[in-house]
Amino acid sequence: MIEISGLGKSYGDFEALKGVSLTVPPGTIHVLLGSNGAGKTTLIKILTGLLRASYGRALIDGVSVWDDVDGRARFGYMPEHPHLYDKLTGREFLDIMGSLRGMEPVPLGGRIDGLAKELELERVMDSEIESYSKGMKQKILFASALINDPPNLILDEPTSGLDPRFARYIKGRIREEASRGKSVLMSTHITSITEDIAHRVAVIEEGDIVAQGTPDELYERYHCRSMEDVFVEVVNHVRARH
Amino acid sequence: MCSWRWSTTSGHVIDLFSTEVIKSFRVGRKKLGGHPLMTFWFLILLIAGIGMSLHVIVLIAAMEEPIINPTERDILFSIFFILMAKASAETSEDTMRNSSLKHYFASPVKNCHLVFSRLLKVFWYNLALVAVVMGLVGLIVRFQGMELPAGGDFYVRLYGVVILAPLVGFNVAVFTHQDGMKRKLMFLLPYGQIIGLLWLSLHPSLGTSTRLLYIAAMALYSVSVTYLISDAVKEGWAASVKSRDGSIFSFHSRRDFLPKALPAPVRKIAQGEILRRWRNRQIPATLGVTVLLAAGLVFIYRQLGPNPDIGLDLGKYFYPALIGIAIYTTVVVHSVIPSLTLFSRDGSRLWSLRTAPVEPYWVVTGKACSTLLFAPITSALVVIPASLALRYPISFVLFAYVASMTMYFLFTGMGVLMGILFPNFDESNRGAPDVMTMYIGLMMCLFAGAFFLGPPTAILERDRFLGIMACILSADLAALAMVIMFRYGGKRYGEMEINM
Repeated sequence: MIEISGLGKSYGDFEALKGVSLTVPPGTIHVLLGSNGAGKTTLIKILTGLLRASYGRALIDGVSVWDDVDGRARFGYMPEHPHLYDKLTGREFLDIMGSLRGMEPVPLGGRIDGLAKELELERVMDSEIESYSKGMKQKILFASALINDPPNLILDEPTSGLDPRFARYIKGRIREEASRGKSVLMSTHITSITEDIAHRVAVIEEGDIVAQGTPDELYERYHCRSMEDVFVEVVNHVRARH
Repeated sequence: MCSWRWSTTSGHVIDLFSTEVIKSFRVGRKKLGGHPLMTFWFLILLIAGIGMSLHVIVLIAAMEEPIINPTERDILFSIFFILMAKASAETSEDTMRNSSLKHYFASPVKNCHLVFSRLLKVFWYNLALVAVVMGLVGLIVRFQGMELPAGGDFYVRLYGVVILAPLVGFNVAVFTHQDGMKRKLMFLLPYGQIIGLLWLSLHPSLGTSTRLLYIAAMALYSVSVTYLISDAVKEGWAASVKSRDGSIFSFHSRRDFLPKALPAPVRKIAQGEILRRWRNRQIPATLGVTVLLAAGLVFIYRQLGPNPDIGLDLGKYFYPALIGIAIYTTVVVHSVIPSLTLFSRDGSRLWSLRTAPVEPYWVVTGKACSTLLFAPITSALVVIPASLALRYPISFVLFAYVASMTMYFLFTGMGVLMGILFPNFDESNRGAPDVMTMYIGLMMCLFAGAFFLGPPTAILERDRFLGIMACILSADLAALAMVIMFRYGGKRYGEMEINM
């Protein structure tokens, strides 16, 4: 379960996040939809312990992972950009990620092989990551988020750089993980993905959540037929206020 | 090839060069503004370092029969070599292995414009460094009333050498980054003759103007070569940034190669570091430096004999001091410099460690272990062959070995701590420490080493057994200091925000 309440982040005078609140119960896919620079990645980075919140709380299964290192085993994280250790092979990277999460060698080896097969990475698993395409790197990131089968998933633009076939696979896999009772918080600016998989949507703009609800609630509230229309309507409304 | 319409070409080159200058200026301003105290200490240590070197030069010059009596040719050639190596290393890091240059190579900028802008950067930055150092030398000489053993002509010739060194260093870096040994040799063998030519042109029988004429001709030749090889720069860059799966540096093992006695997170992190540093050729390169140092010590012994007379009855300290310097250099190369960059080289990849449920102290220890685990081997590589060649007693070998381990513990702790306190997350130079952090780090290591090893050395002179025991105690204390520095470094790393 992911709980965020009154979360804020300031850089000097600039407020990147302005008291954001949301909850992702088990079995739910919560999508953060926002323009570039709206604050989605900042929120995710605070939640995963990469940034310190200026105020408010960000809890994963009741724990703030900035303070509690052990709590970091409770989530899998996929960052937006595939920043990986280029001189390691895909297998070595996943082996380190699994081992650091306390997995024993034998189940870990089987898990890596299983994920490699599923993500069609078997052929390149023993090649150095620097030889991978962007899509392959994204798949390694996705595999690393799933490596220890954590109860929460935090995914920053998970389909970025993937071909349509794999983007569809990833969406299916996210749905499957949620159906197994996991809390999934993912960010995207692609509205079609939101329509396909979101149980709840939060539109984030200028560091604040400006609309939140199930897709149907949002369609009804803004008299729109698609998530793209909802997004444009909400963002235009916010910008018109300035 | 470029069309040589001077105004257009120079305009493009200067535009690209200006971009680099502005970037460096901003990075420098941020650094100086962020750490004013560190800047102050850097200046103090720099002036003190130059002052001490000048005093040593004056002292040696005053000796009637100095053991080291280099000719002007030796000095000029050594300065050329050091500056050439520096320029070559900078070109290698900043141009040939800089993957962000893809933006330039993919844009409608002619190769030679880009190449000359990079050459200009190396050239002017090195010239600026020499100007600063010479300015400080001038001030110290004037205020201390020293008399340096060099006439005005020396400085003119020095200037010529200083101009030539970065031009040659740039081309050498380009050639060493070509794909395949044959191609490297094809370029390096004919061009490398320029180094021999410089040695010949510094012959004392030639007058200053003749020497300068030769140096100017070589500089012109070097610039022409840079122009002609501008396409090879792109090819060398492409070869350097691509995957090297087939090379001998890409061995793969699915099994852990570090002892199971290490805690699992430490073992895994250290293993990952070692694999990356091996594949990046850092470990082979530093091992090569160690072997060269050991060979250099044996060579000096063969040249100077067992009891060199350096006056003031200091001859017996000559070789132990040289071994001490060799150990210090080994530890710096193997441990301090890698430790300073352990976190900054990771940069945006740090997310993978920071989101893992591992105590920061274990992360720091794991990363540091990647250098510490080589300590027993590299210490032995320097200490044992040199001591055997010099026929020193076993007690000295033991003392030198324990002393080198003391340095390893102490310097690794200091390097890791400084690397965490003053990280350089600039992706363009791949996290390499800036000159200020590096210089202060190395000087602090020197002082700390003297503090920890001075007393045991003094005791060793009176009693060998007690001296060794005192050194073992120093090693214990150094290990304790290292653990404390890892703990504090871990705390600071845990508080570091990863926003790259």
